[in-house]
Amino acid sequence: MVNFLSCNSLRLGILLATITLAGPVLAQDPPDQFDRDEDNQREEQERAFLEEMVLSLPAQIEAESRYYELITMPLLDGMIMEASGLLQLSDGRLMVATRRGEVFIVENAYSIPPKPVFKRYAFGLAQPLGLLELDGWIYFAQRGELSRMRDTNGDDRADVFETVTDDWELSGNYHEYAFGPRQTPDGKLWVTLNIPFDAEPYGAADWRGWAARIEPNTGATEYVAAGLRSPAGVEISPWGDVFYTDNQGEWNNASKLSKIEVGDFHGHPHGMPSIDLPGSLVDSIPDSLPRDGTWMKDLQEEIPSYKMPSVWFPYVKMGQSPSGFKWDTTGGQFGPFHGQVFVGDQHHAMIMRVFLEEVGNHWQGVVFNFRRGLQSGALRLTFGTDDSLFIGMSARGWGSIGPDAFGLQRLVWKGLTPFEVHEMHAKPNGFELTFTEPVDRQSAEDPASYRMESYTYELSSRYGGPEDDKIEVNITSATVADDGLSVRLTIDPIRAGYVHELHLAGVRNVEGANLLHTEAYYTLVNIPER
Amino acid sequence: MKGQPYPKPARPWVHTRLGGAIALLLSTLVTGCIGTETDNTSVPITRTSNKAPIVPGYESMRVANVADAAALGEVLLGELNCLSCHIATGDEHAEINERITTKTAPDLSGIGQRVTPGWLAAYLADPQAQKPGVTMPNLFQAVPAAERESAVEQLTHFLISESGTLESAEYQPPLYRATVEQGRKLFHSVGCVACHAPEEGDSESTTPFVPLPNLAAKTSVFALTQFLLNPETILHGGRMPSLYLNEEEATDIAVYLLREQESAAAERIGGFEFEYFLDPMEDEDADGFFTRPPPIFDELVAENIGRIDMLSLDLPVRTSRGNHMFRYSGLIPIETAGTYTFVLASDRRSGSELLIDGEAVATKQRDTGREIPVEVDLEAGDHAIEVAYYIRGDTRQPYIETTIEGGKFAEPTPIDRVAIVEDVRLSPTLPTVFQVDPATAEQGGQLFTKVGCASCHELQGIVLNPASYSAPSLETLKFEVASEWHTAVGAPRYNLDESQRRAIIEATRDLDQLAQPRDIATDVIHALGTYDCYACHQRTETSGAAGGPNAARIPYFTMAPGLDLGDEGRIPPTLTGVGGKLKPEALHSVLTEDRMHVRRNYMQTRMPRFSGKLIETLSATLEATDAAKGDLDEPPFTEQAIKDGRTLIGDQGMRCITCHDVGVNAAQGVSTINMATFYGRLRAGWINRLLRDPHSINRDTRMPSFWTGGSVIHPDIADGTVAGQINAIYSYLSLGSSMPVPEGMNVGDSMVLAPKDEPIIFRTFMTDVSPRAIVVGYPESVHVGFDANVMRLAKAWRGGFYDAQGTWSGRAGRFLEPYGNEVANMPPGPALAFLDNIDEPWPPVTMTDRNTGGRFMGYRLDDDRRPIFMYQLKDIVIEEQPIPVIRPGGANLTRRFSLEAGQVSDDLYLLLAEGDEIIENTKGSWTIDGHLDIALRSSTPMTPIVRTSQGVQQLLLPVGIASNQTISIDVELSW
Repeated sequence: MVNFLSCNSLRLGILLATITLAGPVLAQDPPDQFDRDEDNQREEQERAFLEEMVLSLPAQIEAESRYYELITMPLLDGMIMEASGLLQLSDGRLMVATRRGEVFIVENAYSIPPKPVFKRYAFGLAQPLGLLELDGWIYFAQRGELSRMRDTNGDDRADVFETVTDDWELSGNYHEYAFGPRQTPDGKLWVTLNIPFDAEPYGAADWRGWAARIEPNTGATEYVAAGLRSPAGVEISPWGDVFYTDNQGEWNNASKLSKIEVGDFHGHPHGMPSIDLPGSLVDSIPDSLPRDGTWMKDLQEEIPSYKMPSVWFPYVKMGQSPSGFKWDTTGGQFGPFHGQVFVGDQHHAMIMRVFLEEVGNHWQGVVFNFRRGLQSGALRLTFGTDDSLFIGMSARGWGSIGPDAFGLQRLVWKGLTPFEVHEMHAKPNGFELTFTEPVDRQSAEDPASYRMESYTYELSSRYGGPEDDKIEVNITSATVADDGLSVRLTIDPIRAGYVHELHLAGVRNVEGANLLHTEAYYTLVNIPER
Repeated sequence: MKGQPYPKPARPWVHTRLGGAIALLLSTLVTGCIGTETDNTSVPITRTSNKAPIVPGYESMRVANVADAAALGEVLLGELNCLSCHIATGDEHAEINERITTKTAPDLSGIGQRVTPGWLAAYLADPQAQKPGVTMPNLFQAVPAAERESAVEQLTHFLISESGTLESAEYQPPLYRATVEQGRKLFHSVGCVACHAPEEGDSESTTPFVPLPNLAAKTSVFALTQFLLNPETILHGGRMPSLYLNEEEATDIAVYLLREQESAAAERIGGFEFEYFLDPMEDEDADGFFTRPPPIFDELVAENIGRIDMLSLDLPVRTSRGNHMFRYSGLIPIETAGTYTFVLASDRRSGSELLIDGEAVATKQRDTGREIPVEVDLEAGDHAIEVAYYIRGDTRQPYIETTIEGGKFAEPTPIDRVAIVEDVRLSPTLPTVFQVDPATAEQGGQLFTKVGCASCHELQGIVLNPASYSAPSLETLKFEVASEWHTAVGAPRYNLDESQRRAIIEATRDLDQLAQPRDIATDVIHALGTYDCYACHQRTETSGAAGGPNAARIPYFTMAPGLDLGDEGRIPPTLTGVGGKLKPEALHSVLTEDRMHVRRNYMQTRMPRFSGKLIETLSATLEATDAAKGDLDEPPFTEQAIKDGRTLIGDQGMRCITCHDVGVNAAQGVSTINMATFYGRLRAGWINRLLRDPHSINRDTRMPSFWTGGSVIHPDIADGTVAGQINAIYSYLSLGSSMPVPEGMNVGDSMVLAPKDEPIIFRTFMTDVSPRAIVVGYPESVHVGFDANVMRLAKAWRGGFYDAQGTWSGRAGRFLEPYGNEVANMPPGPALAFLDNIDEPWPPVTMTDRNTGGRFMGYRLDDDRRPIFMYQLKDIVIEEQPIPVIRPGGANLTRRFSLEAGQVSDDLYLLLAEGDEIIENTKGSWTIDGHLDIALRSSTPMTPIVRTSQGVQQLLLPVGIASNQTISIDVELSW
């Protein structure tokens, strides 16, 4: 029996029950030393959002499902598919790694109705959180190692497990995950390393909170970037840059998507002692830095190697725990968003959509809602051979509003184009929006169809952070292009280093329909000169 | 919660029941002296009891009629310490002094710290009045009162001067609500009432109970607890056995037995009494976990209880970060009647509840708003308050708070500034303080030997002179003459009854005969009688059946709640033929220590630990009388037999696993004796008899006969013959702890890993290994833990493999121990290392060291999917494969090394073992600390050396390997 997840299956009661217990997510922890008032404030904010979400979510999921359909892979009895790594194998089959340390080969993954066949390829790995096929090996990051495995006798079970590198240290803390690997065009493999949270039974460990670059055959390991907190996703852009997602908490006060370059510092001081060790490619930073409570937008003045994010994900509004992400390289087979990025979120059991542009030598962009109502917390995404998007999920330990503890789903485009903001470009005095279909000129030219506010974040030791220095932004004009496919907004003020949160509920298409999603969150690091 | 809302009091702010001594200010010493304050310090001397001394084994034997009068008398000679004074002096009778095993009287060292001075004095004046039926004689019969009182006073001063006085009440463990009830249950179930009278209900019995004195007057909770924990330290004869009580249980029983004592040190102190509970359903990931109803605390058994000043969750007793509960109870004193506002708050994830005078007035559901205000009308006076907290799953900021406002509390005040508990501590009904008069004590010291105390009692640190008390030798006693029976003024009076007297007469009628060794059958009965094994166990001799609990005591032999196994589940097993049932080492262990004893968990009564001379030989005499009857040689041990045996025991065979545990795995139904212990304990002949006809061993057993009339239900297994199948089962049992899990066995929690058809390789955090542990479980039920941090095989063990809970549950990351038992720990540090010279210490390894034994390269699997670990040390590539080796007694392990050298190969060593004592056996075999054997085979000749390095002995193998050479070494471990 096919188990299509419909909005009917998302019963309100379940949702309410799960929402109330949902904490933050994989690679992110509830506040530790949190002031009670702020905790309450956070809770109120979250609760208000959730109330609204609970009320409107079924209808929104219903609307989204007209364009993108979720197909749930039926699992065998007793299978715990806490999918933490997804790989489309070159032989056409799918490979799934789980948080429990199992690896499955999935055959027949595309049949309708789905009748997948699972073969257990490996067992007992230490939290594998990524899979990559290379030179006949399956490379994977596990807690203490980058490893590779292969099946030498053709029985679809791995029988050699080699350590590529185990150079980084473990303190014995549960939070010390390793994510990846992903391969850059120069052949190197990138792995991101979580920091510990709380007790470190085996003592302070080197290289926690770093991105490592590894030569796949020799295992030679360099540490290219510091200051990561909980880097749950790492991916290579089509043009060869490395990006990663990081989860909000202390010293990373808003979740983000960032580019990583050699020499970067990303804000979290935990791993700073390793900067001076051999193998580090990051310049020394004075011990006094970063100061507790600096504007991130100004931090480069003190720490030149500090890397501003490409996209901030405002807490609760755009998920709470970004994880795996994937560029749409389907050439339109997955809908109209080729070249954009889909980002999973564990807590919200959702997929977000990100459009990036390079402005002033910095990749920055905007995030939109894309598809809610997943069966569990999204951890990993990968495109299948038919250009549908596989989603691997688990809610264990951190919780998710999805109804299931874990699962594997496939998101399929139904061929219909939703009415959406397609791209959002920064301009010297505002933004240019493009749409997937022509807009109704009257509604789109009316500044009252839009509402905007902007805010930014501090870098501090507190857990998470409020939307700070927040102001309303005036929409001073809205000009619709002749073809009706784009709108030029001028705004006042425009502030570099701020999230510009745009609500455009008033904009209609020529049939008078609303946008499928009416919010956009643009992280304006640089204002273009023209 | 930020910091503490108010300063901690100076005294320890929490003491758990396990906390031991409680340091408080000494109370002022009060002087007390028997001569001057008799009203305060002495127990009124009642009329001397005429009750005969109670010797329980003598009574059991007499009732059963399994021994003649002489044999009964012999027990009395020992239990009444007759030979402590009346030594057989003739050379031809010297053996009598050996043959009669004198019970010995209590060791009086520290007596003053165990008993009140007043009770001591009263007891000395007339033991039989204080403890009717006691075996201690009255030393002052017919002595004029003044003289007697003077002697008693001197002895009391002497004993207390030598041994100190009772700890004052403040040092006693505090009395908790739950303690008395726990103590009542324990006293009446673990075995105390096999000898002593029940403290409640009908105590009529066909054999008399061993008397207890007025404990409330005699001793303190602390002293009684210490005694219950280790009775043999005071009663060297070992007749009062240890019931393996833990300190908490001993305290519970002591408090119960002393429950009538005064709560002398009662004071009101701020704070609460707390109880800590673990969730009986620790199923964090189970369906409905978060929606289960709140716990009903009264239906749960607290893991720990104690006192705390603050309403805090941060207690050392909290062993779980996951599901757990706390309950705090106390009193709130209200000065003015009126309406009071309470606010209950706890972290969002938790549920909490506030009860006033037993009524729930505020309830915070889990995952709901934070603060629950409630108004309560309170009269003036004390009101009971109870605050409960429970959490499922985990939270990083647990807290519980309650405030009160109203009356004199003008603003919300934390309840822990208001709540009080009554700090009740029990104190003996007689004063505990005593002023020793040195002169009187010195007189008492002389008296101690003069009246004969020193003949029976030890008193540490005192040079005694037994010669100053001279008694006639055994040979010169004229037992038939009534006047000889201690009737003179001042002679020790025993109150023997006529049958006791007759028995002693019979026993001593022929001293030449008494000087001969007992025949073995009599010896068994004598020993069983001496320790009164008959109080619990039945045993049939040629002379008849004896023992087993008598009717009055049978109700106190109980099963664990909720079980039904009939009498088999509550009455201790028969001792008939026990020497042919248990292997000698197991039998000795059961009698004297717990190592090989199978605690029948369904049975509440415990088999205690005895001590003393006779118990040391009892296992040998039982073996000599019983073992020859029908013991068999072990059947041949083959792999096919093991497989067949495993099938027969599992759910495709006889389904033994319905009732029997196997290793760490519990039976499907009622959990009874663990089959993994059978081989180590039971003789082959007995197992054979049991399997063929269980009812021949226990008529009432619930174990079915599997081959009724010789018919075979599973003709396809083990030749389809009864003998073949029994032999197969025996072969399988002989693997002991490494019995592979039978088909259909419940292997515990769903996260417990159990290898069945092929090895399981599992990377995890592991205690005493590292965060880079790789555990391997083999179907042969022997398992290893490899440390990929420093390259060493760290542990090997048998039985259950590993619980993945720590790696799979919640956020995981917990370090766990092996899930099995019989763990062999390998030496710390890497397996292989280069040493500059033979005196260089082995590379030390701290928790932060990495790669000291090489760099980890991974593992590959052989055709049986057994892993071969690969690592590289300098220029040497090492492969190490653990290989299970099955054999009777449990599977062992061979470590197979293959070393391939590059250019560098000098001075390489393999550390085989480390210990306090390494003994070379035959060539190529060593024993480490008596429990680990190591044998060696290698492709080229190599000879290990034993060296002492940094205080330990090490068995080091210089690995002779040349450049570009490949060698192999097999290290066989058995333990």
